Amino acid sequence: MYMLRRLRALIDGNIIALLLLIGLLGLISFTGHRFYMYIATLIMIFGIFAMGYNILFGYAGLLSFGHGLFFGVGAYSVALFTLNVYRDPLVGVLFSIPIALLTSIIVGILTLKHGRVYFAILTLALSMIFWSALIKLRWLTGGSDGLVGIPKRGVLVDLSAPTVFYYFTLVFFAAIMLGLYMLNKSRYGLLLRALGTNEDRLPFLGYSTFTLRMIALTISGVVSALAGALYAVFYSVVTPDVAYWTFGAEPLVMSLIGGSSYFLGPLVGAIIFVSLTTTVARFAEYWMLLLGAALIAMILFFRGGLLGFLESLAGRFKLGVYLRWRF
Amino acid sequence: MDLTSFLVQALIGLYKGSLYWILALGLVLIFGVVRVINFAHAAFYVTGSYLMYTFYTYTSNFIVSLIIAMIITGALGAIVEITIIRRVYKLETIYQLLATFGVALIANEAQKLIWGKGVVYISIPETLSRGVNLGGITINYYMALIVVTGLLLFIATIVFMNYTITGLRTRAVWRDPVMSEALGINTRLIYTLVFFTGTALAGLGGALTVPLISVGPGLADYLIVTAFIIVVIAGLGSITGAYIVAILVGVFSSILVLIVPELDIVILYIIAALILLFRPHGLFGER
Amino acid sequence: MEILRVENITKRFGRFVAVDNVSFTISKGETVAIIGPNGAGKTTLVNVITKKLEPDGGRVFFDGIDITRLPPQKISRLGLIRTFQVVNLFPVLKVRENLALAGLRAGTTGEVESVAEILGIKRYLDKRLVEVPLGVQKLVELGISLLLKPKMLILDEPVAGLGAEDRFNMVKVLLELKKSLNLIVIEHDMDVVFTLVDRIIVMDKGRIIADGKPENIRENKLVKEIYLGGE
Repeated sequence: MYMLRRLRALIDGNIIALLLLIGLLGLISFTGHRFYMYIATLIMIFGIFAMGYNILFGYAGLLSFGHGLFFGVGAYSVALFTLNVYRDPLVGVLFSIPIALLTSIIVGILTLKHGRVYFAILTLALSMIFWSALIKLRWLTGGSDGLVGIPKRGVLVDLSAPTVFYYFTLVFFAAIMLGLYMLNKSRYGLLLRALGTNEDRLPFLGYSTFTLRMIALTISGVVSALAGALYAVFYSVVTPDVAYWTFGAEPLVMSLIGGSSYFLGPLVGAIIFVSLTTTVARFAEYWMLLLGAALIAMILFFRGGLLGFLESLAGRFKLGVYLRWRF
Repeated sequence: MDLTSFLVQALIGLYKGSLYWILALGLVLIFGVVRVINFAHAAFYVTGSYLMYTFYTYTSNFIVSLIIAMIITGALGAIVEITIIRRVYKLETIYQLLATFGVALIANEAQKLIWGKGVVYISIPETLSRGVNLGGITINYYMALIVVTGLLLFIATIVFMNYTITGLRTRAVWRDPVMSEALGINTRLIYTLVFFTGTALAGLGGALTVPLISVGPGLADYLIVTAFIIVVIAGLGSITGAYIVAILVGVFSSILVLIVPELDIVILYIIAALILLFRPHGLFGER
Repeated sequence: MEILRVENITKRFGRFVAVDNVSFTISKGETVAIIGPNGAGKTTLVNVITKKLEPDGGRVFFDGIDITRLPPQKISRLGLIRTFQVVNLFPVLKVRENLALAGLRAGTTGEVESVAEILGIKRYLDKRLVEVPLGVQKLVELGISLLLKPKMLILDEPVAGLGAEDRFNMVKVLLELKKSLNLIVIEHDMDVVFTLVDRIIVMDKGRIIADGKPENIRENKLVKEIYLGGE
C-alpha cells in the first residue's frame, strides 16, 4: 500500500510524456531512415545539454553564459582519452564524468561565492579562457583544428553501425532523463527550486546557499559534459568551437523557447531548435542573428516559453488540470 | 630580454591599457547608474571601429569621422535602451543580462553582414604617425594621444561626477533610484542619457582602435571578456579602480607577451581568478 | 540560566548608527518583547544577532556558544530561528513544500501535517504560497520556524498587517508556544505585547532606554514620553 502511494506520487504528466518520447525515439530506429535518425540523435544530445543547463538556470536561478565550457570538457575528455589512453568510446564517455565533476567544483569555487551578476560574468570569462587555452595548447588539443579520429569502434564496444550508435545514445538519454526526473521529485529538486525562488531566505532555515548552488552546478556540469562527450563520439571530431560562448548560449535559448520553469521545457526547446536548424539550411547564414532576436523576443513577450503559452491557453479553456507540468 | 624591449612593451601596454579603460568606463557608468551589466558593450565598441573605418575611408577627415562614429554608436545605444533594455528594468537581474546578451549576438552578426568577415583597418593620420624609435619599434604620437585621452577622460569623469549638478543627479540615481524618483529626478531620462554616453564612449574607444589593430569578427568577444575581468578585479562600479586596473592589465599583459608569448592571456586570467578568490568584491569595491 | 547574551553590539550604516552599543541577557524560559518607535534599531538588532547583517562591534552568545562570527545557516542549526517582518518565503512553491523545506532540514517531515493542523492551515497545504491570504502566509512562516525545532524564536512583527481574526489566532498560538520555548517578539501592538510577554526591552535611536517587567515599563516616565506618550 505504501509502495503504491509512493509510486502514485512519482507519476505525473512529465513522466508520461517522457516515456512516450523515449518510445517514439526507439521507434525511429526501426524506420532505418538515416536523416531522421541523425536529427533524433542531435535532439537527444542537445536535449541532454539543455536539460542539464536548466538545472542551473530554471531551478537554481543562476544564469551561466559559459556552459560551452562543460560541453567542451566532456567532448575533449573523450577525445583525449580514446586517442591517448584507452581506445574505447564507452569508457571514454564514462571517463568524462569524473573530469566534469572536478571541473564543476573548480568553476564553482571561483564563481559561486559572489552574486548572480558575477556568476554570469565569470562563467563567460572562464569559458573564454578555456576556449583560448584549447586554441593555444596546440600540442595537446590540436589548436583550432581540434582533434580528429575519435573512434566509434573500441576495445569493448563497437558503435560504428548507425543503429548501434543510435541505441547507445538513446540509453544515455533515457538514463539521464529519468535521473533528472527523479531529482526533480526528490528533496534536492525541492531545495534547488527554493534556491531559485528566494535564496536569501535559505540560510535562516539552516541551509548553506553555497553548498546548494554547488550541487546544482555539479549536476548541471556533469550532465552537460555527457552531452559533449556523446557529441564528440557522434561526429568523431571535436573543435574549440564547442567551448565558444555563442555555443554555450544555445542551451539557454532552448530552455527559454520551451519554458525554463517547466521540467520538460528545455527538451521541448531542443526539439524545436534542432528541427529548425537541421531542416532549414537557409537559416545557417543568419543563425546567430536569429538566435539573438529569438532570445530578446522570448524575454520581452514569452517569458514562459512554449509550455507557458500552452498552459495559459489551457487555462483559458479550463484545461489547466491536464497541463500542470511545471516542475 | 633586454631593458629596452621591456620598456617598449611597458609603453605599448600603457596605450593598450588606456583603450581598455575607455572600454571599461562606459561599462562601469552604465552599471553604476542603470544597474545593468551590458554584455553588448564590446559590440558597441567594435561598431565604433567599423563606423570609423567607413567614414574615414569616405571623408579622409580623422576628427570628423571620430565624432560621427561616436555619436552614431551612442545613438544606437540609446535606441537599444529605449526599445529593449527599458522594458526589463523591473524584471529579475537575469532577464536584464539576457537582454543585453541577445543584443550582443545580434550586433556581432549584423556587423558580419554589413562589413564582411574579413578585417578592416585604416592608417594613422600622417602628423601623428611619427614618433620615437626605441629598439626597432616606433612609439608614435598617436599612442601618446590615446594615453592622454584616457587620462583626460578619467579626470573629466571624476570632476563631472563630483562637481556638477548633472553629476550630482546621476550620482543620486547611482545610489538610490527610488529616492531620486521621489526627489523629482527624471530617472528615465537619466538612464537613456547614461546609456547614450556609455555607448558613445565605447564608440570613441572603438574608433580610436582602428588605426592600431585590425578590426574583425571575434574582437568584441575578446574585448568584452577583458573588460569584465577589469571591472570585476576593480570592483563593480568603481571608476578610479577601473582606471588603475585597466592600465595595469594593459602593461602587465604587454610584458607577459615577452615572457610567455603562448599563454599571456591565460596567465592574466588566472591572476584575476586568484584576486577574486581572496577579494570577492574586487580590489576597489565596497563591502 | 541564560540562553542569549548580547554584548556591546554596534551597527552603523555610513555615518548613521543604527544600533549603538547594545547589551542585554535573556534567561531560559523568558518571553521578551523589543519595542520602540520606527527606526529605533529593533530589526537591525535582530538582523545582526541572526547575521543577516555583520556587526561593526560587539559579540553575541547563544546557548553558551559565541555566534558572532558564524554564518546564518550555522546559527539556524543551533536552534536560534527568526521570522521576517514582511513575509519572506518561497512564493511559487506550495504551502506544503514551504513547510517541507524546514522539515527536510530538521528531520521533522513527518510533523508537517500535524503542525499545519495546530496552526489551522491544513486546508491550504496544496495551494501555492502566493495564492493564500496574508494571515495564512504569516502562519506558514511560523510553521516553518516550529518545524525547525527552535530553542529560541525571534518574531519580527508577527501580527503586523493582520485582520482582527487572524491576529487573535496568532496570539492564541503564541501563548501556547511560550510555554515550551524562548520567544522574542518585535511588536508595535501594545495589547499583544502586554498579553504575551514577561519582560519588555525598549529601544530608541539605537539604544536601550528601558528594560523591565511590563507593569514597570507601562509606568516608566521616559518610555511614556518617547514611545507611549503620543497615544
